[in-house]
Amino acid sequence: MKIQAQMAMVLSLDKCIGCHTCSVTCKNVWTSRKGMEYVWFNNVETKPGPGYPVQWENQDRYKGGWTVRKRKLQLLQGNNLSILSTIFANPHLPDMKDYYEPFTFDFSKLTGTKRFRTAPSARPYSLVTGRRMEKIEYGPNWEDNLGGSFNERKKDPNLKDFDTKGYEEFEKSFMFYVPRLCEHCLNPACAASCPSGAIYKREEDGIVLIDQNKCRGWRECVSACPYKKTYFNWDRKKSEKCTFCYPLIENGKPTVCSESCVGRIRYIGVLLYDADRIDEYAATENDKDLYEKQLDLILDPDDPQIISKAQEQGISYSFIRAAQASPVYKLMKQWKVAFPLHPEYRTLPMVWYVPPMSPVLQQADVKDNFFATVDEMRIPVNYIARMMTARDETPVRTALARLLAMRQYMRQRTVEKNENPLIPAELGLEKADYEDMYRYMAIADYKDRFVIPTAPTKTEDTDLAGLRAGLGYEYPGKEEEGRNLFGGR
Amino acid sequence: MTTSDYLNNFFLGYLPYIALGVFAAGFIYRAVKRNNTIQATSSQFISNDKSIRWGSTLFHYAIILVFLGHIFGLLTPEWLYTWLISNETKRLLAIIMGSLSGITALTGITILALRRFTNIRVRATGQLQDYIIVALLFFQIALGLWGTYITTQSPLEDYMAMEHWAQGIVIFEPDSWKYIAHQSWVYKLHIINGFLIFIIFPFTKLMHMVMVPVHFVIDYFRK
Repeated sequence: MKIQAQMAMVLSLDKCIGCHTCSVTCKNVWTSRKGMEYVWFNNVETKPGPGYPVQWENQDRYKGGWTVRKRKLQLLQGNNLSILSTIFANPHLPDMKDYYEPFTFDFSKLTGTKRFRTAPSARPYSLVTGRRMEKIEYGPNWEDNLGGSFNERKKDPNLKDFDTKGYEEFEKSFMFYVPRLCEHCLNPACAASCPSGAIYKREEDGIVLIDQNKCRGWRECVSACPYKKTYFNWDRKKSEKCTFCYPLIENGKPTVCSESCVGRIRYIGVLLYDADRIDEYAATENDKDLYEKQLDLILDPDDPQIISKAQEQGISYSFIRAAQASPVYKLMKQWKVAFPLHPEYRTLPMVWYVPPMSPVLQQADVKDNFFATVDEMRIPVNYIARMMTARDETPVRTALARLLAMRQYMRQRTVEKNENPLIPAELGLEKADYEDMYRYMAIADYKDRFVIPTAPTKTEDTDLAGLRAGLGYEYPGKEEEGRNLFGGR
Repeated sequence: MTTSDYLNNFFLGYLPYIALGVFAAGFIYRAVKRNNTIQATSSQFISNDKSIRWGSTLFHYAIILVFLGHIFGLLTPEWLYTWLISNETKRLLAIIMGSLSGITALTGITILALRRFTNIRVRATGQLQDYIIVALLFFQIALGLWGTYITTQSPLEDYMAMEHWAQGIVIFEPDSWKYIAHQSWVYKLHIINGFLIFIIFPFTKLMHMVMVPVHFVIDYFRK
């Protein structure tokens, strides 16, 4: 058993109001540069909808993620040799227009002193070619809030072989928001596809990063990532991706998207997992078993055996403590109300989603039958299961029922002043669980949402006396500057 | 020494050393100091059209064959291959393989050149070197094909002279330029243009070809 720590996130879609604050703050910090105008490390999509880039879930087209061939895990794109054979022109690469043509508006027309007969308008122009665009054809959240026609929304790959009859009617239409960022997978397809080996997963916290000095712009990661969360900087011609704001994380602070989330939907915490079993679990034959397997991979941080093993293997005490208090562990494993996004891609994603609740269309006959109520919810469980559990509806129904039960429990406690509310036995949670769920999901205090240990520092091999008078940072390239190629001055 | 002798001596005798000197120095400089800029700077993402998919694939596969052909044809000493292949057969092989891969490469580079010069999106994001390289390569391949045609019309000695010249350069034979001094200007232009490409190589995106993902292949066999 090789225990490793992973920084993971939970997003409670139940609370997401689709305000895009996460996307905008992320963009301001990371991607407001030339070549990255079209890039949103974090974006919020309205589902059902084709998404950003268009139909990113359609792996017949983009060949993202993994598949099992002869019981062995292989990139859907092919093995290393077949990837190399198409390296001159990646056949599965999305075009920039599948994301959108980045644009801005020509505001100079509005501010001049020239007299116009009619009111002037600011026309859009492309940030790539600098030419005026007749029409803006796509964007990072094109079908926002059910905008556009149902036929356009129906291009959502999750609706493939889904009986959409009736859902175009206003009375039955449904939607929810899905904020997406890099999943920092345990089994990252982007890293496996990189011919230069530039993508790596950090050992200490599992954050997946691209070494910008090693990246040669082969673009294989762009198509290999099933979530389309590695982006090609068209100006620098190298790939860039979400960094999980590692400079903040290392200092024990939440990522920009989490910090700025007005709905407090995001949780960050540490998970401990068994790295030795990744290959075996990711190669699970049946898609529907993948969610359970992924849960099995996550270890119980309160188990004394696990704790001692983790310490033996060099995981710092602060990380183990953080794993024990991890809100992510509670939500995804203890209460099982958070799910991975598309486990069938077999990358073992580490951003989890609490499924959204929705209004009940018809009051169920049987009182306190939570499952019957869940089935009457406006968002079909079947649709959520297609996104989060590879179409296995049971875990999603249980999770939604638990969320309902938690509400009922608290209603009895606070409104009906009942000190001993009824605990539904079929849902398998106890009184303390509901109290905690309420605390974490409804109150969602800052300290409960973000349990982030600071990065371990290596004090033993650091020359502390030498650091005393130092600056604490180096001038970039200073050492090289004064020296010639052979190291002499 | 006549003017033509002087020019032949310079371009076929000295230019190779100048070019290879610049190449070696530039190569080391780029690999050590600007290593992280060694890449192909692909424009596929900005315009993922049919012309790059066909053009780039055809061109690259063909040019790799052409490259291997030049190594075998020019730089392999006679004693190393005579047991395997006669000079006549080698010439025939060179003509067939050379023209096939040459035509493929020419098709590819033509498609890429058209794309480079006409596609608005590619033009907007391109650099000067992109235009220069695509033009140089186009001429180089065209001259190479023309040279192949000339080879079919000329005696075997002319073909062998190429090899003697190239190997003479490698072993610092001072008069090796004389082997090909009397030959067609097409050959000579091909050689001069070729060394021009050698000179600019370390300072341009051409350097991407030294970044062959070897580890990626090793990983495949290790698994």
